Amino acid sequence: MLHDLYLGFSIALTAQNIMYCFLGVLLGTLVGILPGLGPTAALSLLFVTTIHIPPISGLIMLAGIYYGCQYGGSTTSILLNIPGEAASVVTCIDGYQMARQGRAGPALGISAFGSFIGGTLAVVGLMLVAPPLASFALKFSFPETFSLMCLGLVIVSFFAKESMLKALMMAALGLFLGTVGMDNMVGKPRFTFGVNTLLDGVGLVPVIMGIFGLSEVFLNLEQGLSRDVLKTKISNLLPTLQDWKDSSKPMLRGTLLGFFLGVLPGGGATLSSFASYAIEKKVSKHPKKFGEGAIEGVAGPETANNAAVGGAFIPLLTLGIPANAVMAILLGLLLSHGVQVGPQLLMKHKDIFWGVIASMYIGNILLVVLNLPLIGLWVKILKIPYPILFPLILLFCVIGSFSLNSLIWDVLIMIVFGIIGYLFKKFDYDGAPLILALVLSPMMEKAFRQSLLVSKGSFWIFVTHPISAVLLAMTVIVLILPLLPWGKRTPERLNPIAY
Amino acid sequence: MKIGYAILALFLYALGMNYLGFVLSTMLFLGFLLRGIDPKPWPTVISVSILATGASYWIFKIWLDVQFPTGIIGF
Repeated sequence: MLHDLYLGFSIALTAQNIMYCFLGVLLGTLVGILPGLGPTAALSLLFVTTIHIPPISGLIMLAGIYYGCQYGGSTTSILLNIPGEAASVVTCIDGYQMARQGRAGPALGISAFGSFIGGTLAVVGLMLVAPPLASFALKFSFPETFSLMCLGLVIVSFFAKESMLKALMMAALGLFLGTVGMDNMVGKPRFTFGVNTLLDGVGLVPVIMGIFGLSEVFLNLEQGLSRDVLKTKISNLLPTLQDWKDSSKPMLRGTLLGFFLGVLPGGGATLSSFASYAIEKKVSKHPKKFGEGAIEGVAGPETANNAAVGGAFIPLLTLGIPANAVMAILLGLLLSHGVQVGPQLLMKHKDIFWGVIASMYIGNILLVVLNLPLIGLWVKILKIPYPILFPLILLFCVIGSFSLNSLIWDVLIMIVFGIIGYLFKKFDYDGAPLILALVLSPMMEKAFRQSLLVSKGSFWIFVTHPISAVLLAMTVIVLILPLLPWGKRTPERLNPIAY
Repeated sequence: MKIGYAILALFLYALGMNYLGFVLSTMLFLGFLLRGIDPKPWPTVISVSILATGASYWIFKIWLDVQFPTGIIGF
């Protein structure tokens, strides 16, 4: 393994890849700071920049944007009480209170250090867990792959923000959208209505830009974003010894929690930061302090959301299954370069796997170096008023969806999905299951039909293969879990902060 | 209401780009959004539109080689 890690660093430490890593974390921090432009939209916008560079450099940059975003998101939470992105929502609660009490410095400092610790430890975990998991997954053939994807989609729906039924409906819609275009087994067009551009299917990037980028802008336009940067002097970024003592255990718990929740499809950064906050509040000796500027309430969630990023790479790099929308984009990047994803990735593309891992160590260091001294600059960017910012975000969305194929058609698809996404948000439908299902749909269909070809049309093949049977049984369990009294998705469990 | 304007602007921008070309349509699009929704003073509107159009043209067209529609005026 040390030899492999050495290979990874020899790739990540080339001047070109260090530059892409730096660019990634810089852009990620920027995007994390700007409210209304989350990591998903930013990644789909920058997807086009990765076409002309080798897949490993592209992956390093996009990964950098993702974890950089988790860093940046906390800055706005603490200084503005506006989360830069969803995973930093909980940081608002105690982080903003700390800032109001004149402790913005330690709050920003501890979240930067927490992110560094969580991020780095999660990469160690990724390094240890991924290889054995991949060699186990090599046993998978078509029925197992199909059942695994079923389980993934159901878990995503289980963790969705709102009702599971709504989430399942979104997943089904995503699966259906994925069938638009050329049938990949017999080569017949489906649901294209004679529109030639639809032969390639509904593009992932326009749909993501619409659902996660445009709709966010529409929502902000409607509600109006008031942004008063707290007029506080940010001093003493280095937390005191007492701060460290208070934070060390929450950080450790946050790392473990974030890592394991990150691995689960649909778990990811947002859920783990919420869970970490809930746990810290529960185990704390003085729970009353939470909500009034407890440093544990910043340290735990900020560590957890960065650790979740490392965890989320495991299903992508070992099984070829994205755990969230961001990972879906990374999967798209690998596929567009013709990289074979799945358990074979680790054998056939050692350079990609270990290169990305090594780059994440480097990126996490770059982020600490970048964030602490540059906080003044980030605060200045925060002062750009939204009426100037939103036309630029809209412009980026249009260019981002246009640039992949140079088709106006893709822009129109994006606008339509922007309107749909806005309605989804209004009526509390979570967009994540749809995106994931849209990505998995072609692979899932292929696995399903190949299985049936092998079994000559008998559905028993999914049950007679033992691993597949276990996975399907787990799928059923997750589906009925919300119906059982102790598995109920009560409001308390969905939103642990309010209680 | 604001959303309606934004959607209208997006559609007109997407459909008009083929005729007016990327540069002109982008400036009009940004100008409309900056002035029409939450009115900003004219100097801000004009400078932001020109700067943002120039920057995106440079990044995406010249650096990343994206083929934008040229329209009737040629760029």
